[in-house]
Amino acid sequence: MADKTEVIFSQEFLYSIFDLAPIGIIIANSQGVIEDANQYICSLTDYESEELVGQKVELLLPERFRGGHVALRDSFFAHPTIRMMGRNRELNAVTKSGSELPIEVGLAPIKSDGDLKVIVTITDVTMKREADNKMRALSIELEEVSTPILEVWEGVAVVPIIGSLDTDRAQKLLESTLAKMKDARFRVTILDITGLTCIDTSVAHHLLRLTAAIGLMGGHSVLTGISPEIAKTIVRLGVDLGELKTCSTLARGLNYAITVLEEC
Amino acid sequence: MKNIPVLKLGSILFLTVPENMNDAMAQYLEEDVLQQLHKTGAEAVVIDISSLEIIDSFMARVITETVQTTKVMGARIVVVGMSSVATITLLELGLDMSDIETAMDLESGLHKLGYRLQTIK
Repeated sequence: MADKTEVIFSQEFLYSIFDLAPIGIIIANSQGVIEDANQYICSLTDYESEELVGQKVELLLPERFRGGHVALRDSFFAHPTIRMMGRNRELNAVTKSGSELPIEVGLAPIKSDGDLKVIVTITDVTMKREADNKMRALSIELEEVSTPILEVWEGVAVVPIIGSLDTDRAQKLLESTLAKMKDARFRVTILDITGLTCIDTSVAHHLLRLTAAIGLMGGHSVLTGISPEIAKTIVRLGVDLGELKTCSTLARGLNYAITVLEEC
Repeated sequence: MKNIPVLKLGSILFLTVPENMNDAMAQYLEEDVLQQLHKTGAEAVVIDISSLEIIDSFMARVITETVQTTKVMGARIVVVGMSSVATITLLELGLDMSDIETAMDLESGLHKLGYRLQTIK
């Protein structure tokens, strides 16, 4: 095996794999001193390879993390395993000009010349982080716009439920609907499910829970926007809507709400 | 031990559960309502719980039991002013509150019992 390696991969060839890989690679010793750095990490950080070799790895860390990193480095060498650095945390490298770069870091211990060293692989995740942030902002925005509570008549609220209704969203919807109902004194709440993408037993359960809560607070609720498909699904699933008032369209629901108001 | 004052308005008994309601007071709530019902011959009871921000399982049981016993005594009962937080707690406790009549506030509670406020000319 050793012979084979020597035949196929010359020393030079192996070094090229390290040096030319399109991922940042640093070799550091247990004191945290950089022993080698490949071309890609140099281009990421704008340093020359010579400038990095001999420096502590902390050079590439934002100043606020440098102090704490020494202890983390020691703990890695105390328990050397292959792992990602700082899982669930956003890591940044600092370039020569002082700007920060979002990265992901992998650590792998290696025994070389009897010394324990670490291979640090560094991936530039600028695009990924941007996409993540955008997605997070979008999901917050979506959450905000997807569950509005509209007062359409004095004492009548319409809650259009658009998209999907998971446990998390159902709980938020419950809290916001009840709070608004109390403040704005809604006597009738119309839950419009025209925009609901799918209905299953769990969605039905959330809806029934919401209407039970509205009932406990002394309000009335109507379920509207029931398409033939949804009606079929409800029946086939064997969901018991109990005494919940349902209407096919929002217009009919509003009509019903007004009759309820007149009775009060 | 302080009892919760039970007011009589016509044929309705009216009581407000105080904010600082403790378990000891809660224990007497049902008893007080029933005694007053018996004494006055009132036809209906309105319990205002709007000052209760939190309802625990004990309080929930007191309320449901009061509702049931009042009904057994032949009177109607409406619980009014349940807060949104209390409602969610009740749902999470998983208690069956389906036989409890509720209303948003005192006025709609009275209305539910068939009474309407009117000014005397």
